[in-house]
Amino acid sequence: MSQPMNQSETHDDKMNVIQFEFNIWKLMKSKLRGRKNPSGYWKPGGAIVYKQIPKPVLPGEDWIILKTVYCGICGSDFTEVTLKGAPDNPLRGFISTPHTIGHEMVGIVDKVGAKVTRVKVGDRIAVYPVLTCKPRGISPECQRCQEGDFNHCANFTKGNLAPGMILGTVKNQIKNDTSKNVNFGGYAPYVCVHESQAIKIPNELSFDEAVLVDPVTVALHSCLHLDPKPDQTILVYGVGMIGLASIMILKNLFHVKHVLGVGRFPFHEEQAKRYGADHVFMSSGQKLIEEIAAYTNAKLIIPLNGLKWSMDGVDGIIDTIGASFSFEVGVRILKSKSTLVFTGVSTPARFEWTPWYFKEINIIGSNGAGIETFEGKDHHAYELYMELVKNKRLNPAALLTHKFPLDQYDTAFNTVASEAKTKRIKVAFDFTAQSQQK
Amino acid sequence: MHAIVFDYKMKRFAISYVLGKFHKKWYFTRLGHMREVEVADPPLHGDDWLVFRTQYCGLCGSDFKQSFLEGNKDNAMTGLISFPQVLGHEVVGIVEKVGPKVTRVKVGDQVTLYANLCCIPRDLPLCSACEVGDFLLCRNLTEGKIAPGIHTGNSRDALGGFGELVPAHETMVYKIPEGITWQQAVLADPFGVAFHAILKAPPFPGATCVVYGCGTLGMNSIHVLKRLYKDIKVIAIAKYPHQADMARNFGADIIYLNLKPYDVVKNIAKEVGCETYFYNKKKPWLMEGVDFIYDTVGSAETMEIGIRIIKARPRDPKKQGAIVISGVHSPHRFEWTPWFYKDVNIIGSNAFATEDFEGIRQHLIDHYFRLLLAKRIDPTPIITHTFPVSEWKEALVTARFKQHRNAGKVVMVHGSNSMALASDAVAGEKNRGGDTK
Repeated sequence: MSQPMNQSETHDDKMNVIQFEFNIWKLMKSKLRGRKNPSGYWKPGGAIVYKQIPKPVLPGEDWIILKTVYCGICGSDFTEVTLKGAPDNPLRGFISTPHTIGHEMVGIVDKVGAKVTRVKVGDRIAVYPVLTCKPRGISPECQRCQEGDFNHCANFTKGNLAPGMILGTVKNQIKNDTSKNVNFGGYAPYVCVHESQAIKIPNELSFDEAVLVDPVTVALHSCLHLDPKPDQTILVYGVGMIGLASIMILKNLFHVKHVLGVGRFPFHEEQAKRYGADHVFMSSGQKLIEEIAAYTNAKLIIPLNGLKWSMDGVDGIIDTIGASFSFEVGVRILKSKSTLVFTGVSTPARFEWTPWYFKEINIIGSNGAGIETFEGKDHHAYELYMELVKNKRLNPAALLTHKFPLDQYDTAFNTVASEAKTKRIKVAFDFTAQSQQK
Repeated sequence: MHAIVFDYKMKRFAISYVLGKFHKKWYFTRLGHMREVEVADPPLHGDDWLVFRTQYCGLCGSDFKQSFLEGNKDNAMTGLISFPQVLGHEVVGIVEKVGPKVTRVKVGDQVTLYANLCCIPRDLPLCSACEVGDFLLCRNLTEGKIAPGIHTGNSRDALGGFGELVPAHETMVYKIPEGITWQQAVLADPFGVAFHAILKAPPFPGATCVVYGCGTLGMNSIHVLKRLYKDIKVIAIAKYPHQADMARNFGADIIYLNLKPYDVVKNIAKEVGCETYFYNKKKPWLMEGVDFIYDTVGSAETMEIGIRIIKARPRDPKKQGAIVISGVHSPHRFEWTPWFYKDVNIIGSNAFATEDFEGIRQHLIDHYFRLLLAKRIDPTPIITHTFPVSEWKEALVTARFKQHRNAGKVVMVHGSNSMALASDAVAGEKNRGGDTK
């Protein structure tokens, strides 16, 4: 089916993508060069490769080809780009290489397979990136998928695709026809998407708003775990993309009276306040504990060594860092019997955890989003997001601060790396701007 | 009176460390941090206070860990305690002296101690936690007339059961009912800790539960799960053969003895029939797995394995499990990716207080006595060793290095009771007459 929109097809049948290649020598090279200067991580010759691959074809009759408009650079993408993963991270079994990076994509349906019914060519869609039973061609679906708990699907290593949890972590290959050219990552102008992953973007939403669906629903999932009450004081540790989305959700959807933030760079304070934070702390460690204690009128306990702590403090914490230092502060400044939910994925390290058991704190991990129960009803998180933005209950558009064409990936990654200078929140690759660069 | 005193002096710590390298018992020398000395009898700290004469004192994990100086320097709890200390908070005894306002007990009564030093013994208006019966979360552990301390044994003013006499506020003692033995009464505290942890996340019928660690807390946890909840499959993870035998006697359905951490993961996968995921054929983890883990060890290793073997959080709230940590170990790094990946909830659990169980809200020690008298529980087989207090060094070494002597719970016995060491004196019967000594 030829479409008038596929002008680029006439040029050639190749496209530029950014891939991650698992090759020990290239990894070591990147690692060494990245230590001096972050841009060394993605310099040519390393593990991050800007290259040409053939344009993808439909992997099956229930698949579509997405013409990418934007693909956001997720924190986890950047962890991969900067090779920060811990060597004993068990999720390494859930990726396959080489793969095209990127999973936060929105775009226009370019081609559809014969059996596709949910969308048609020309539809504007966001992509739910999880590679569950359906895209893998597994039927019947596993118990988790049937319940809408897609992030805990049993089949991330099985079926017709190589191992991978989400688009952007899986090798460009289908098992039943290895000769087919496919592409399963968003740092590319064309991406193969299973129709079950396509979420229509309502006319009222711009692509700028729609591309934020992934990080905002991640924040929503964690806020639903926390389930805060309006009269509470909730601390959001970290005010990057997920942190700001959490602040907005806590204020707009849960109507929490006091939302506090913890920022890192000077511009964070004003920015977090703009999204609804009532107060932003700009310190860390001991000083941060003291400031939060003073703000919440909590009495501090002074141990013989180590950090001060309190039995009182805030009523809940959304920790978007998930690092040893944020846990250490969190368990010290959270009211006893309260909950800390973490969405961040920092490399594990030791933290002094005695207040955790002593204060009977709940620490809950939070991963992605699937079918979520919100205001008594079950929704697909992505559809819920579209509804909430359409109804003006969330207004996240300004969180997308920078857009770059793919061939300017060096500038794009540098913008992500130097947050203090660029004041970036969400950086995305913009495929509508590409032609201007050539 | 005679008491074993713990001193917080760097010089003494250093001596103990060095001597302890040669012989375990040399941790406890005249020059060291812990030694038997003559101290003043504890006074009545108020009109509603009493003093009782120690009969039995159990050795808690925290007692022997502290005795062997196994703590981390940045431990937050050091802000809540005061020195010198007389350890021992699992205590039973006979009331010897009462203040004029004491009404709950009288001289000669046999009592078990609830060691918590909350607002009430400190003579303070109730804090937000004490108001609702959460005495373990008291906000005033450093305030009031008693020196800082969480419970008897770690406050300068609240000498514990490593001494002959123990001071207590009248609300800190529970009269041992008729028909309950000293042995049963002295286990009130460890039973309470284990039961409280299970009440933090009680299992639903049909749940598969792991009890990590088969010491006193582990054994009590197995006991509670098998006796007080219906239709629970208990997998016990034991380190030593004698613990595995004991776990079997307490009714654990499946026992893993001394498995390597990653073999625990593989065995759980077989047990529940779920898939094992690997990275490079090493370090397995599971997406499905067990419903609940009651971790009585609380070390980096048990946490790392725990988050690998627990089921990812199900969407159905009625089927959501948790990991409850009741053991205390010094912190270390563990690989925590499955924790967030599987949306796992890890809940800390500390001591016990007023609890809801089977529609009854009462203090856990009252629950304990009630359940004992109804013959629904009896954890006494946990006690494997009883030492006269004069052999306290031997007792501590036995408790700490349990593998050498096949030790479960180690108990010290004081004074005249040491003669009746082996006998199962029924404490409650002596209470019947109620007459003073």
